Amino acid sequence: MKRNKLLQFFSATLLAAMLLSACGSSVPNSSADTSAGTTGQSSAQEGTGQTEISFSFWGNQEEIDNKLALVAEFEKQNPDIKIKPIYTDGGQYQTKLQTWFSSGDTPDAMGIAGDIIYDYVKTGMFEDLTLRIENDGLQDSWAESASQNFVYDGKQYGLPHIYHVYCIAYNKKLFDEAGLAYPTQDWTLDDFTTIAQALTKGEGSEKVYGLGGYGAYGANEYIHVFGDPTYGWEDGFTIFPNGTDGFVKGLEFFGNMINVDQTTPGPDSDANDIGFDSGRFGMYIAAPWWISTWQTQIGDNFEWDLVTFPKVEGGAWYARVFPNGMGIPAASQHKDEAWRLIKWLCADEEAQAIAGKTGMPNLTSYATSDEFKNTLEPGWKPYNKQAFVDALEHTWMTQNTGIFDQINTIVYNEFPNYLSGSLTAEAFIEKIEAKGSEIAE
Amino acid sequence: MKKKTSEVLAFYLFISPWLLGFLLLSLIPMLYSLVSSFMDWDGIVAPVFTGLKNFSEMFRDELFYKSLSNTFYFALASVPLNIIVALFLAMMINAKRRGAYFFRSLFYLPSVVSGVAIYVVWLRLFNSESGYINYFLKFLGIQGPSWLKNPKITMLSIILMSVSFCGSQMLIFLAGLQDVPRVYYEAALIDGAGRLTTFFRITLPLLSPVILFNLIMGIIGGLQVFTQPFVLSNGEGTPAYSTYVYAMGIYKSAFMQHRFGYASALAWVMFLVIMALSLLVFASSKKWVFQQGGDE
Repeated sequence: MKRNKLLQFFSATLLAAMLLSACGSSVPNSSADTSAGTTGQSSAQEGTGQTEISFSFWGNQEEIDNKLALVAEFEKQNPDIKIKPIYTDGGQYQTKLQTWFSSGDTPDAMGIAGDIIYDYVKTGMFEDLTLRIENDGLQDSWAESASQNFVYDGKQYGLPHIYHVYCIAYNKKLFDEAGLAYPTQDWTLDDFTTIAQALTKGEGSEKVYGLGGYGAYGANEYIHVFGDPTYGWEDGFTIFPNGTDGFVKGLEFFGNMINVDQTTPGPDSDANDIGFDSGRFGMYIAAPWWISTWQTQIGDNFEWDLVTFPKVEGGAWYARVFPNGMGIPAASQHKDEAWRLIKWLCADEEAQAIAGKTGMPNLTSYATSDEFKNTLEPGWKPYNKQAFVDALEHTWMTQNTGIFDQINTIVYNEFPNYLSGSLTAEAFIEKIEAKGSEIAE
Repeated sequence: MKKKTSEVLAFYLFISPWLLGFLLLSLIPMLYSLVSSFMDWDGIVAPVFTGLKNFSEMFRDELFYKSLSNTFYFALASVPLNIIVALFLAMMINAKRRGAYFFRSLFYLPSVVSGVAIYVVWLRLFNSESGYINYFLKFLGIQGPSWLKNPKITMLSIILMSVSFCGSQMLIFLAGLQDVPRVYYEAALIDGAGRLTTFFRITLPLLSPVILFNLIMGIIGGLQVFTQPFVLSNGEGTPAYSTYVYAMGIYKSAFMQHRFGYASALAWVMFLVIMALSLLVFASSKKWVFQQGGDE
């Protein structure tokens, strides 16, 4: 009997302990919080005159180390502000964004990507920074195309921090073997087509392609290269805001490259899994995130360099851009301090020099400086970094979440049907417009 | 009476950790999602009641039917295939030949290793240019297809891939086989029954409860297939919707498209489908499941 009572007592204690621990909130510690927990409360540290603010961002280990180095430098220059960094990988970050905004418990400053911000801006989750930008005279600090990625309804909700953009890498060895001159910034679409045809040779697993790198999901890239986006969002959601001519032209151009000239692998080809470093592509879609890998993997196998996309009628082939920016949630309790942080990260040359190790810096004065052009990681071979800067002139950005994901799904899945001939360009457009109307309703 | 009350209290105290977990992590979220299915909710601002709008939208969406058809195709093919392969492997191991314990661990290994890691290995095996499967087919004079990029056979590739995860079912079959009284096999041997007759007249009937269990679990798992198609198509259901399964639709609706209400409606429809199929199988089990014991 006594033993039973003892057992019941311990069970009750265990249950009470579990209940109490479940009800308690997580207490933030002073070091980085990498968990999926709350942001904690930013506060003024009593007696120190220091304000603690929370700052969230995402990345792989190299990018996180880079951000932490930026945080440390900012704190050194601003001893009245203490930063609590919160970080995770890219996939989890989107989930955390939803959790933060739905709970109203958000970090004070946030890293944001231009292609996922729309739903949050639409629902008033981010602070309008337009007035702050004007008051601090920052309007011309970044390329207009860079700032536009964070503008909705004429208001700017983020500052451009770093970006990744596509241009073309070319294999000099293959060009030399084919007796071709290296492409320059003034090359045209006809030059590109001729070069791609001249570089393509062989069959099967030995085939060398004129162009590679758009991968199995190139559909969304192809249809945007001549402008005329599939959807717009600056003034609310619209389908084909500039018409469909560019869309059709993109389909036809790349349909020919894949089916007729066979100078680039189609989405059903496993050659899409092979990289530029394999030496099987005369030209390849380059982004800053590839450079480190190529510098190591290619080594002395062949020489390569970068060039912007070819010129087309009315401008240039539109390069896809992946803009990373900084914003302030509307629920932030320390907006002034958060502004000081994000302004430093995005408009200070020293900060941009540090950030530039993991992407292209957005600040025009630094990106066009000799210091940036001549900076190379130890052991790297020189390459035309300027191509990534020049590519900013003609860019397009996709939206990857919310209503836009429904359109993207149609584009990715119907493109093979277009290539096989079972879907015409007109029918393709109709499907997208039908989904667009459904969404608009 | 006092003793009974204290016994009841002790009972609930001991099951309270599980009960709390079930309430907080299963039942309450399920009820919340049921309520959400009647709402328009983006997961950011407060939900708005919209009645049956999500369900009506679902039944007008081509992608809903496409995802259902892909999912049923996967389940109809992979469930019986996995059961047959698992039973075959279990019978081989039950024969207690040399190396049986080693192979038992080997076949079970994919079930405990991270699924994504296994799928990445399969990606390499299925690569039409440099993968081992097409490499071996080349020796047989067969031009291997593009396993993961051809919409006509991508789902078939995923079905074949799923067989590598039949280890858990194999173990359950093995336990069932070892539970069959040897006296039946001895009697059959004396009566001159061959292997096939023994298998169909003794092993299968006595194993039928285990088959029922694996069938129900297989149907539930098969209709909820997600990771393989998601990893292989980068979450898009490509090529040409051939890998766009129902669970991918739920995931994309909720986490990519911010339509939590619609995703909840999708989830509850699948819940009803799985429940209906399970009840159907249970009802049919009276005809083919042999229960040992009873009134003897």
